[in-house]
Amino acid sequence: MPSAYIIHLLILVGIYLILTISLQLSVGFTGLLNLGHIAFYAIGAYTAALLALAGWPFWLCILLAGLVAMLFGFILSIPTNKLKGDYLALATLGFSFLIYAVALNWSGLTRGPLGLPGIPRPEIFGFVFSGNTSFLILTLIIVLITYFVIRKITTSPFGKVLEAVRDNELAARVLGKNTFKIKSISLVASAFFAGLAGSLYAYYITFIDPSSFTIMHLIPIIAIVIIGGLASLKGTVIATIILILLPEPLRFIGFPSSVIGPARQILYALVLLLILLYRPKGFYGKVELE
Amino acid sequence: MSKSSKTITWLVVIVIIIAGIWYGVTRKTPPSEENPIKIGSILILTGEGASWGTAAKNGIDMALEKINSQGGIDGRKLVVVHEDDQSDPKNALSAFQKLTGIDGVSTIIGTTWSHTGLPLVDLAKENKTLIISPSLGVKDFNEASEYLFNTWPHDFYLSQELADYVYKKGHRKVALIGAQQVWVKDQTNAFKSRFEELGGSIEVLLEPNPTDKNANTDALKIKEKEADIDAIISTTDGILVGVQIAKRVREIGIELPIYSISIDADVIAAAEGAYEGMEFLTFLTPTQKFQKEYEEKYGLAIDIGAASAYDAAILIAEAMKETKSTDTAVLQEHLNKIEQYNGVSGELVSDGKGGFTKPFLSKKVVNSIPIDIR
Repeated sequence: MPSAYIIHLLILVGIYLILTISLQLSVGFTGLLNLGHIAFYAIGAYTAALLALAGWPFWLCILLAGLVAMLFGFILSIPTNKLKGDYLALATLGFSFLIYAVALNWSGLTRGPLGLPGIPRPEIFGFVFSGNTSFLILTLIIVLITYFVIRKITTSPFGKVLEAVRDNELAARVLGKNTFKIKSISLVASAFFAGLAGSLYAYYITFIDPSSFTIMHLIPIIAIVIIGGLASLKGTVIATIILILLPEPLRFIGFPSSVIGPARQILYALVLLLILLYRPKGFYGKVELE
Repeated sequence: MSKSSKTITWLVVIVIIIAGIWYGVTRKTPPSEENPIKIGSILILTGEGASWGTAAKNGIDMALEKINSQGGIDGRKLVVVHEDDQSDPKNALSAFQKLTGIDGVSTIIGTTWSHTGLPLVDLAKENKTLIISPSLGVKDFNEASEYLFNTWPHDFYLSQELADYVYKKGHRKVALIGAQQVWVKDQTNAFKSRFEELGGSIEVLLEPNPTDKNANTDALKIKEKEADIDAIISTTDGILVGVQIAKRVREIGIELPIYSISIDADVIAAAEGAYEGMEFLTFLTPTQKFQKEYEEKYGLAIDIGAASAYDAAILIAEAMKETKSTDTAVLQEHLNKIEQYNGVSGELVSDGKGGFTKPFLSKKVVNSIPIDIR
C-alpha cells in the first residue's frame, strides 16, 4: 500500500521534529552550541531498548529514557558551564564521541557493535502499537507535546531570560540571573526530549546499534536547526519537513541508484549553502549564527 | 519579503515536495505487454560497504539478463528495482516501504550488512515479504522467519574453521585482531571461543574502532607480547583498520605468521606487502566461468556479494518457474525445501533454517596474489 510508505516517512519526520525542536531550545533560544544532542538521542534509544527488552512497560521505558538523557544533560552542563561558542561545541562534541564509544565498547550492556535486536513494539494498557498508523499517532502526540512544552517555555518570561543569556550572558548575570541554572535547565529540557525521540526511534526501528548515533547523524539535525532559523519553532518545523522529505522524490525520478545516494548528500549541502549565502538567519531565524 | 509571503513561499516548497512524492507514489506505470514480474533489492550502493553492495547489484543484473534471455518466467520478464540504503537502518526501512508499498514488490534481495537487515525482520514477517541476503552473516536474520534467507554463510562458521586450522598448524598462543564492527565482532568471538575450547590461548586481543587510523598502539601491544605468541590472527576481513595494524606490525619488525579470513584482492593491495605469505580461509568461491564473465562485463575484480546475489536471483527465478507462482508463501515453502544447490557461488547446503553454507577455500598470498593451497 502506498500509504504505508507515506506513513513511514511521516513517522521519520515526527521523530526528527522532536529532535530538532528540542535542539532549537538549547541552540537557538539559549545560544548553547550543543553538539551533544545525538548523544542524548542515543542515551534515550539505549535506555528504552534495554528496559523494553527486559520486559518493562512502554510508558515507563519512554519516561525513563527521557529522564536518563536529562540526567546526562545535567551532568554535561556542569563542566561546560563556563564554556561558550567553539569551546562549548568542542566539549559537547567530545561528549557525543564519549557516549558513542561507551555504546560501542560496553559490550556487556549494549552488545557493542552487535546492537540490540528484537525491540518490541510499544504497548499501553494492552493496546499494541504494532501497525505503523497507530505508531504514527503515538509519534504525533509526542511531537505535539514537545512542540507545546517548548513553545510554552520559550514564550514564557523564563524564555525571555533564556534569550537574554543567549544575547548577553554577562548582562543577565549583572541583573542577578543565575545563568548556570538557566543554561542547565535549557540543556536538561533539551536532552529530555532528545531522549524521548531516541526511545521512539528504538521502538520504531526495533534494532539499534552504535552506527545510528555517529556524528554523521548529527549533521542533518544541526543543518535543519540552522536552515529553519535560530530561535524559530515555525522555521524548525518547516525545515524538518522539507529536509527529511526532500530526498524522497529522487527515488522516483529514475536516476541510477548509485547517483541517488550522492545526490541526496549534494542536495543537503546545496540547500545549506544557499540558505547561508542568501538567508544567513535561515527561514525564520531571529538571530544569526555566530 | 514580508512574513506572510515568506510563509507562503515555504509552504509552496513543502507542497511541491509532497506533490513530488505523491506523484511517485500514485503514478501508474505504463502497462507492459510482457507484464513483468518485479523484484527489489536493498543494498549499500554508496558510502562504506558500497563495494559489496555494488558487486551484489551487478550479480543480480547478470542473473536477470540470463533469465530474461532464456524467456524469463514463463514468458514474463523478471525486472528488479534497486534501492540504496546507504548503510543506514532508516533508509533500509524507507526502501522496504517504497518497494513493497509502491512498486508492489514482495520479493527482495538484500540487505548487504546486518545492521540494515535486522530492522526489516519484523516487517518481512508481517508482510510475508521474501528476503534473501547475499552477504549478511548473522543468523538472527534468517532464523527469525521462514521468509528470510541467506545465500552467504554465517560469519562465525569460517572463524571456527580458522581456529581449527591455526590449531592444527601447531599454534597455541596467538594475538587476535578484530574490530568494533558487527560481523567482525561475531567472527572474533567465534574464533576466540573455538580456539580456547581447543586449548589455545589469546594472549593479545585487539578490537579497535573500524575508523581508527592510528595503528601504532595496537601494533606495539603485539610487539610487547611478541615473545609469548606464535601467530597473529586477523578477523577484520575487509575492515581497513586490520590492514593498518598488519602494516605497522611488519614495519616494527614482527615476523610472526598472520592468518585471516575473507580477504580479497583490494585488501591485499591495501596491505602493501604486509599480507605477503599470509594464509586465509574464504567463502568467496565463485566458479571460474562466473568470475571471468563478471570481470569481463564490469571490468572489476569480483567482490563478496556478486556470486551469492546472482545465486539468490536464480533461486528466486527457479522457484517461480517450478511453482508457477509469485506468491511468497509458496516461494518460501519451495526455498525451504532446498537441501543443496549448486550455484555460481559454490555448492550451497541448507541448514534448514533459511541459511546456506558452502565449502570454503584455503589460500595463501604469494607475490600479492591469493593462490589456492587446499
